Amino acid sequence: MHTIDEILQILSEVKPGIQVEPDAELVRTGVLDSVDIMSVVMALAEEFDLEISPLDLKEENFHTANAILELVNRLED
Amino acid sequence: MAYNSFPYLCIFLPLCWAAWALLPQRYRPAALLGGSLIFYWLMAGTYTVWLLLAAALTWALGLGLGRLQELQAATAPALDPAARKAAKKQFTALQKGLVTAGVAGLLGLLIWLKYLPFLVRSLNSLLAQLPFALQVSAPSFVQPVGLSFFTLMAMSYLFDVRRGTTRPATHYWQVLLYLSFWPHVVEGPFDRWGQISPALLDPPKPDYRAFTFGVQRILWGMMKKLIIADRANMYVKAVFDDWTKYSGAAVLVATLLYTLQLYAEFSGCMDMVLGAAECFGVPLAENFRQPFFARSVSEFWRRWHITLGAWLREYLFQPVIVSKPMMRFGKWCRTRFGAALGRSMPVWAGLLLTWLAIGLWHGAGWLYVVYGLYYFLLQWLGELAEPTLLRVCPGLARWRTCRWYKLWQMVRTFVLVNFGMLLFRSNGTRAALDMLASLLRPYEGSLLIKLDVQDLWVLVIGAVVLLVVDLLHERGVAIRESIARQPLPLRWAVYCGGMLAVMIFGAYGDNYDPAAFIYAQF
Amino acid sequence: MSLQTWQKNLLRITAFLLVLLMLVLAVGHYLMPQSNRYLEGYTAGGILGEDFDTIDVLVLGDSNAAQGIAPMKWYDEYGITGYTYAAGWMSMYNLYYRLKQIYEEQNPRVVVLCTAPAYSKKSSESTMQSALGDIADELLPLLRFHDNWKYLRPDNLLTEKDYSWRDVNKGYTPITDVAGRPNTDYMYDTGASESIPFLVKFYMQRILQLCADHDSEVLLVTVPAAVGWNLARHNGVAAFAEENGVPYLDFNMAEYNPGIDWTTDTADGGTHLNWLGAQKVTAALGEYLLEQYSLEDHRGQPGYETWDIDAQSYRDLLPDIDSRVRENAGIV
Repeated sequence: MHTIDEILQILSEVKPGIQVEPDAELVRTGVLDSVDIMSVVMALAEEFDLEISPLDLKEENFHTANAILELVNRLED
Repeated sequence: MAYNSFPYLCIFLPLCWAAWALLPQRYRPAALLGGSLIFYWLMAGTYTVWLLLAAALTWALGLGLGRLQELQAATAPALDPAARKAAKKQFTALQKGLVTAGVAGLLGLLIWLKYLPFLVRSLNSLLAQLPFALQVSAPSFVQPVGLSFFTLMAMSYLFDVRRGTTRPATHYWQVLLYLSFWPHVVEGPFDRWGQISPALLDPPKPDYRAFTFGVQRILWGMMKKLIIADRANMYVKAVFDDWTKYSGAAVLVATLLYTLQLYAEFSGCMDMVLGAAECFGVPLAENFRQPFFARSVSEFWRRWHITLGAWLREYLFQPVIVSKPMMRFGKWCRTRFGAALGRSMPVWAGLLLTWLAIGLWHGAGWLYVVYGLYYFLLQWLGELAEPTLLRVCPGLARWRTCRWYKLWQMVRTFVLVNFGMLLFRSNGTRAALDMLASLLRPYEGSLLIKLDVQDLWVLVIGAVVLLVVDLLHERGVAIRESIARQPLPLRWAVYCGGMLAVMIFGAYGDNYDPAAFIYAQF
Repeated sequence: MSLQTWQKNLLRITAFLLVLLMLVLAVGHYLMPQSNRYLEGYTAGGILGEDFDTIDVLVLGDSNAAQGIAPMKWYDEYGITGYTYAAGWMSMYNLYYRLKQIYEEQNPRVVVLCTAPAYSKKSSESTMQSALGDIADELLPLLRFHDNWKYLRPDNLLTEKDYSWRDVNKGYTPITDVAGRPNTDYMYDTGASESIPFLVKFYMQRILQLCADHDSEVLLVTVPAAVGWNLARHNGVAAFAEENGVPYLDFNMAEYNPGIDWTTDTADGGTHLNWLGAQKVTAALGEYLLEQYSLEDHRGQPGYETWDIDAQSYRDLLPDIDSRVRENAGIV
């Protein structure tokens, strides 16, 4: 299982200068656009050695840092 | 039948609606299907066969996918984990095969009918470089109406069934109705099966409010198309078709008018199409969301021709990036260039592919490749510059929340989009370069090209009205609802005013050339 | 009485459409030109300025007729009162409705229907589209004159329209330009016959019926046109003429050719005639009319004063037109 800090760490690598709460809205506020989401996906896939399918790339899974954490944990199973 | 023609508005639509409303619930879809097939036949004649074949292929493969999924779900509980995994692998491979067959068939049809001459031309210009004479020739075909739309919609159907987000249709006629539904077959939007099939197959009861709102939306679309777009077209056509005669301010005005024309025409067509579908209770997807309020070029493409961007993002951009080959490419990049580039390069590759697809979807020619590349470069350079900008100008993040900075961003995006429009409208790459260069040469002649002063005033007022409506929409105001709440004399004054405006100020008749819908050639 | 919802809604829609129709007719009225001079192209609108019931021969056609048939020549030489109601791109749909309006003020003994409108079509439209467009234009003046909003002035709304303008040349426009073409045969037999489109034929029959109702005789005529006419079209019209028992005079055929010389008689390379060509056609048609129909000589008669006045103006202008066109043609 992974922690929220690992997720926040990855987010700050992809978007330097980003400072968000685990529950802050990321997509609708424009913090992450579709290109950023893919960069995050690449980082997650590489960091945690995950296999991500296009179905996982729904907006709901990237709304907040917590949502990303849930996604990662789910994929690890 | 054009969406703004007498026969369509005064004969076809009312007859379809009457048939649809009067038939019992079970047969309502038949009215929609019958109307769609008649409509398509009138436009495409014998080329209707391509649509019928595409629908047949899609339906059959969809059923196949559905059966495989059912089989997998049925047999899985009886197996042990190892056998289940092996079975899953097999089922996945089979489904992949079916989808690949579908994509090959549909995309192949699109390429064959639309891109073959372009590919042959390009191949020939390469071959011409060889020391010996070798040229290839291929027949060029008539593209059936809506080819670029129904092939992509059919593919989205297959992808959605494959992913399990929707169940496949049981009957051929259902898929045929989905693809041939006359409001979206000519110019889109790209609707998803899951979004519109309930309303198509199990229609809601005829509703007065839906009917009147739909008609009002059609009227709004007519106003945009006839008053603004067809009028601007006179000027635009004169300058872009004869570009060597013009320079400087004339080219600038023509480009701005083209942007106005394309927006008024395409969004007006979408209004006519969505309004017509609304009369039948079918919620087609929105294609425009106040595009000129975008603050970046990528946001622009999320507000302009929304369903094309969404289609490419969901079925090309994202799957390509998470695909195994791209992941391997990413790993390779990481070892050579470090973690950051290792992440970014696959995403950029996906982005490049997507922009090229957007460009090429619009036309089979090198100009469209350049068009796609133009936007790719803008977005890519923007991404590259971002970290540097933040370092050089730490206050930038704060500025971005300020209202004036946002306005600057909208103006900047507007300028960039207009350059793209100039590229898009010109008569080829050479013409585009010539016109860009000519912007710097002053223009000596009169700026009243094919239009007189009153026409230009109509265009200016039209643009202002568009801006106000877009502003209201951006603020979330529902205009038709607001009007509907007014007392009857005021409501009727607005509706009559709209219809009279179209009849009086519409750019039709002997003084104006009829302008065919721009996006219908795709 | 209580109505079902759908009946109430239908009533509401019908009421709205009626209100809209009234507005459309009212606005259309105000957008119509102040003077009949601008009601139609060339000088066709001038027909409304003629005294009632004076016209004996009415020529209906498009730009070929407007540049090809000069009725004042008949009045000057034989006293026959004729008018060429013709303008560019007139279709049979347009002509039917215009004829109806003309019958409100005139009672022509002979209606000469030129055949070019049967085949002319703006290439960008389908037959159905042009038919619907033309008919809509005729039924709703707002659609026909909508562009006049640009020239609207406050007094348009206050002053009455003045439809008393008269054309000296009675609908004909003398053209003095010369742009010749070689005298090649353009009526050669290709074995084909171009039949008149169904809707056009339907409206031509309506015109015939309208003339019958008003006791006018009908004569089909084709003005010489090297570009735009051929034997196939002649055959199509001849078939129609035979079906409907109407005499047909095609001036493009060798036996009826009034001596047109395409090197001098055309203003634009063969599509339209100039004054030289128009004289010949008018003379030939005038002779035919005198032979076949009993037409009165109205010169000097009471009630035809305006015609005599206009005839004098015509005679005054004639020498200048004549010398100009001869100069352009290189004839002395």
